[in-house]
Amino acid sequence: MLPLMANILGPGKVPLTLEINARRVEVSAEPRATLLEILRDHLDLTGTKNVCEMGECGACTVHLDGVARYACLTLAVEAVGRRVTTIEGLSSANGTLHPLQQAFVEKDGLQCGFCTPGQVMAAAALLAENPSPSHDEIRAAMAGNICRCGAYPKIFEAVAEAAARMKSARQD
Amino acid sequence: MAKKTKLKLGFPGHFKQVAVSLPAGDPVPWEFDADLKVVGKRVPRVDGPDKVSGKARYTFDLRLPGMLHAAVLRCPHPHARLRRIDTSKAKAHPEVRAVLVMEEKEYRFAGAEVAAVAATTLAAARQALGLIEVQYEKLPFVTDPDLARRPGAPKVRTEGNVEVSLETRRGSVETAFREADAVVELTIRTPVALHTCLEGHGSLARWEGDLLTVWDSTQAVFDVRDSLARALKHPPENVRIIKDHAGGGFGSKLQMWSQTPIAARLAKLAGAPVRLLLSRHEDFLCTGNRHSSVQTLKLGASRDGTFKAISWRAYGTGGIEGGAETSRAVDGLYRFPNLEVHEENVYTHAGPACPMRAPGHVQGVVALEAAIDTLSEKLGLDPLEVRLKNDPSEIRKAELSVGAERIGWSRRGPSGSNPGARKRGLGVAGTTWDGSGLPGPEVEVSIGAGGEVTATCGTQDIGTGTRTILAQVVAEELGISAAEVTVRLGDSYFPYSILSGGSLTAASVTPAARAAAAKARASLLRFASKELGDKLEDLECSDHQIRVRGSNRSLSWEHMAQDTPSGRLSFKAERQGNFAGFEPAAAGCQFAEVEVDTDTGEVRVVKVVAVHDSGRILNPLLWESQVNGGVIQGISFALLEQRVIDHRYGTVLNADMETYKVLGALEVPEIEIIPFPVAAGFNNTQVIGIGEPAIIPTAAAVANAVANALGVRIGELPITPDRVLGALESHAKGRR
Amino acid sequence: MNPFEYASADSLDDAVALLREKKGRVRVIAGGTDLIPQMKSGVAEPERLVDLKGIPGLDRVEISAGGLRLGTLVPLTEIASHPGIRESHAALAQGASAAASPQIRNAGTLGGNLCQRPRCWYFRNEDFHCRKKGGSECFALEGENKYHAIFGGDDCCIVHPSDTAPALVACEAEATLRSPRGERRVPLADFFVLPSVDVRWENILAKDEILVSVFAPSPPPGTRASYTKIRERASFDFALASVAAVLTFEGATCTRARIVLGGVAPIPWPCPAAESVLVGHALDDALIAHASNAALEGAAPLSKNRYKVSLTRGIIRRALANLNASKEGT
Repeated sequence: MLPLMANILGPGKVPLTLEINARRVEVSAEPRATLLEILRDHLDLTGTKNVCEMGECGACTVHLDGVARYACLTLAVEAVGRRVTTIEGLSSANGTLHPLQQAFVEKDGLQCGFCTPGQVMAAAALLAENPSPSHDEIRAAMAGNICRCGAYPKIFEAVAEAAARMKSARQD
Repeated sequence: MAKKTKLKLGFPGHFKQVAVSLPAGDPVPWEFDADLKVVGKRVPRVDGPDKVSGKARYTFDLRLPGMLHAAVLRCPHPHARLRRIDTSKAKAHPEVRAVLVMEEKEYRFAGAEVAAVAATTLAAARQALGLIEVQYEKLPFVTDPDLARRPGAPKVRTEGNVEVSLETRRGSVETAFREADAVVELTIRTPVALHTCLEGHGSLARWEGDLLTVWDSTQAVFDVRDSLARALKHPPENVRIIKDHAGGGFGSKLQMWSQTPIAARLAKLAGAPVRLLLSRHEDFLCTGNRHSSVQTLKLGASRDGTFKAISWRAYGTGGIEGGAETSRAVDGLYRFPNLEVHEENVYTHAGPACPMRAPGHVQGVVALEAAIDTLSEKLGLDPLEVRLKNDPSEIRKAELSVGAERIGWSRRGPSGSNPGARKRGLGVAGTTWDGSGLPGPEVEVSIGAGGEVTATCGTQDIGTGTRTILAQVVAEELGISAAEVTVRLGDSYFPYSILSGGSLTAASVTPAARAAAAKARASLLRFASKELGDKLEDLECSDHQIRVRGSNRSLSWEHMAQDTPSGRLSFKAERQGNFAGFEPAAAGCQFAEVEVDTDTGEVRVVKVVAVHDSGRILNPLLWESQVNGGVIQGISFALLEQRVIDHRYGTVLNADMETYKVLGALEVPEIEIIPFPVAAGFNNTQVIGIGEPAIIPTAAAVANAVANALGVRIGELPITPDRVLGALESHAKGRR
Repeated sequence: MNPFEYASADSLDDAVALLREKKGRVRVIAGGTDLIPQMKSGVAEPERLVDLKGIPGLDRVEISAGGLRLGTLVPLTEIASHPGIRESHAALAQGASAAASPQIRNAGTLGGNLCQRPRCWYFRNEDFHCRKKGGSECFALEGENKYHAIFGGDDCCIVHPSDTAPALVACEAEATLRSPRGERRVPLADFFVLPSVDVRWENILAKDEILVSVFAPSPPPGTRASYTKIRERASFDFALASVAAVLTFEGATCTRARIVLGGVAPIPWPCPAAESVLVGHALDDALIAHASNAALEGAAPLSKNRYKVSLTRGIIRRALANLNASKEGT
């Protein structure tokens, strides 16, 4: 029995077409390359941070088809055919901040800022799924993102504030 | 010439006139209730938009054309000597551009650097490490400080493993203990903790001829410059260290670690820029930690709770270097007429310690406050009353009263009196830390040909908000908004500043910024007075111009800047020495309420009330963030964090963020922050740093609350379920 | 991470055929949340990954009168939030929601959660060539064993890290496995094996075999179930101990009981002694205490995990009391 149907790639470099922040990009990478490496090292999208590389901290959170994922635990080849959104793709093209980003700034939901893109992306996935989260739902959704500076209380405030603003913007 | 005057220092109800000697030329401190427009306001972080959008570039995010990637070969043994090394296969790897073997051939902890490789990709560099053939001679080792103290233990250094780090005596503790109505003794152990800043340690080095530029993830660009110049025997003026944004530090980036010279040397060898970013695993092994402690405290008091004496005997390990001491907070917190301190630093074959947020204080206050609660219990007194009786600080006594009310201290029952499996408890602890700042930093304020205002200083913003408070202080002095001031920092080519640590930054840098801005303002006024022919007192500085009061005549800064040969007005000032203050240090206290589940051993912090003074609060929004951060790191230390070494092999077992556990979103309690503004003195902005004060009391308050809930003292941090259940079991056995 | 080739399978036939090559140095990838860290830390060094995500139908949730069938690719997030699963198999939904972090539950699949490798810090550390990796020693037995087994760990004292496995075993689930030799069905309880049976691998999967789906029969009326997990860090942690309890009541009487422990043994650990204490009786505090004591009989704690005995006893007691209180008519 031969796996005639299977498409085997690598182990050397292979061309990959990815859709990142609504843009098609072509990269050449080995199958072992993670989405995090592609974003940071090939595409210079360094807003997605590299901290633990093992799915233990959340700093590399991106969206895959709108769902929050750790880019360090995702192979780039797995992202082919799926929509990838990074922190750079969250604000609008003219640079206007997303309401979550705005709320993080105003409420000071950050200190050193290194975990912040991941926090914002985790929160954005939550609000896309649940536009009016309770306080407990916010905390649960942020449980996969470590903030060593301890900005959590203000992160929770920022997420609640953004949810309220986005809701009133929809009603207007 | 210094100016002798009197300042009204203190806080409402406790103001007093204090004679001070103000530095010559320095602005007069703002009054306690001065009507300030920008300072003291909740100004959002000026670099916030860049950080939330991913635009802010940290050292880990930088790339240069032609840049190589480096990786380090590390000794897997806790103690070994190099027998043989052959790098020829690594050198022959087609992507490798440079290989470096360290001069040091004896390795004293698992993780010590042996060799390093620079290659065109990181994968190739890592692969090449595997091609280095190396033979070690394994040597005897000891990683357990209790074993390292024993005679005959393998030596970490030739002088022996134990060094006395602190020895103090005052009065006679022996007599005082004899005469005391109650004496208690207890031993508290705290673990080695890891800073875990999310941006690890990394360096990107580039040579242009003799000029070496290193982008470094550091809290101290000037210190790294000097250390690197020494390490490379290169003139410091030809070394430039740059750090724009930093992803945390907490003390682990105050000194140069090996990745900086390794990157620089590989870059020299390869003739190309080299980036060396440590992995999380490497970071946890090699770039500092908070030393452990075993503290035995003996406390004596009279029947009414007045402290008579304390004996403080402690040891801890900072691995191969870094030191260990815990008792420095004692005099700032309580009055002990008789005191004896004996502290030892125990060397072990483990990664080096270094300062970690409030070094020594965090560990020491846990033990001291535990001893006070135990003593109060023995005397049948309210531990809060005992503290108030012995506290030398008027500020903290007032804070304790405020905090007690907010946490509902009157609800606190006798220890272990809660029925049921889930038991609540309350605890309190105090803090003391001198963050009144140091002289030396210089700030340059300039006004460009477009009227734009820039403040430049080689300080660092490690997430504390330095950039923002500098903008606020300059804006206040010049009558503009913080957003209109561009702050440039993190570059050793900028005017000098001290390291960003020890809660020193705000109090060391903002007075220089204010002085420079005041010079700018005075100069603009003088210039305009001459130009417009109006008297100085008729002029005001606002809205980027000098206006004549009651008329529509004005002169723009832009115009004045363009009128100079350089097209730019520039004013520099240096932070002068401290003058007198109201109290010698910042005070503060925290109260914690916990719930302990006696079936599962789980401890949940329900609420923390944090009452803190830090002189003038320049920006309440950012200040609250600092306090939140202190409390949260303190809880994390109390309940979760500990580096684990298998002492049979000398190997760290949890050098990762799964098993080295730092606090996450679901562990965050309600935190009520109560600012306690004080006219503190010391410097012209009257600021004291808040970074360390905010973390010092938390673990102590939590540990005391747990003891109150259970009626059993957990003698070792972190207070994890195994320890809670273990202590309850031994307690139950003891009672049977 | 070593280089490997990546094969995306279109069908199960394809997948199992792809697994047969490379002398067994092939691994399947679904969510990758455990496999990728294993590869990064050198614990796994496959020459090929076979991605199952392109195979149609493996992510299906089917609820019928007979029970619940879950494809191996159903994400943990979906199991945790699916109203039908929460209704019919509450312990499973609770187990899935207690696993890891939101992002890992989004990527992680049921099959991956059941087949994940142990978290033992000696096993995960390249410096220790332990028995599970083909060495001759279990370093945890005499070492830092706070997180290790109190049952069944004589040769290798890992604990099984899955949160869905105890729940599914307690639900008497059945696993469907597929290899080039065809399909076989086994009770999930028999899917997991002790180190005394196979110290190198935690389940019966052959190198060329794939866990395809899991079927959990519908519980009889009057069934109440829960999953209780205790961890040091609630945000994101593996269990110190956990218990899945599934009790069926007729009136006040407990007619059927399944109690399965997690985090305390190399496999999901059933507690038949405790179950038999309960069956045929109305539950009260004394009986519950008796059952939870019975569950811990035979526990063999190591030097640093004695606490797991009282912890496990405590959570069994609490879980049974809560289920008893929640039964209909009370």
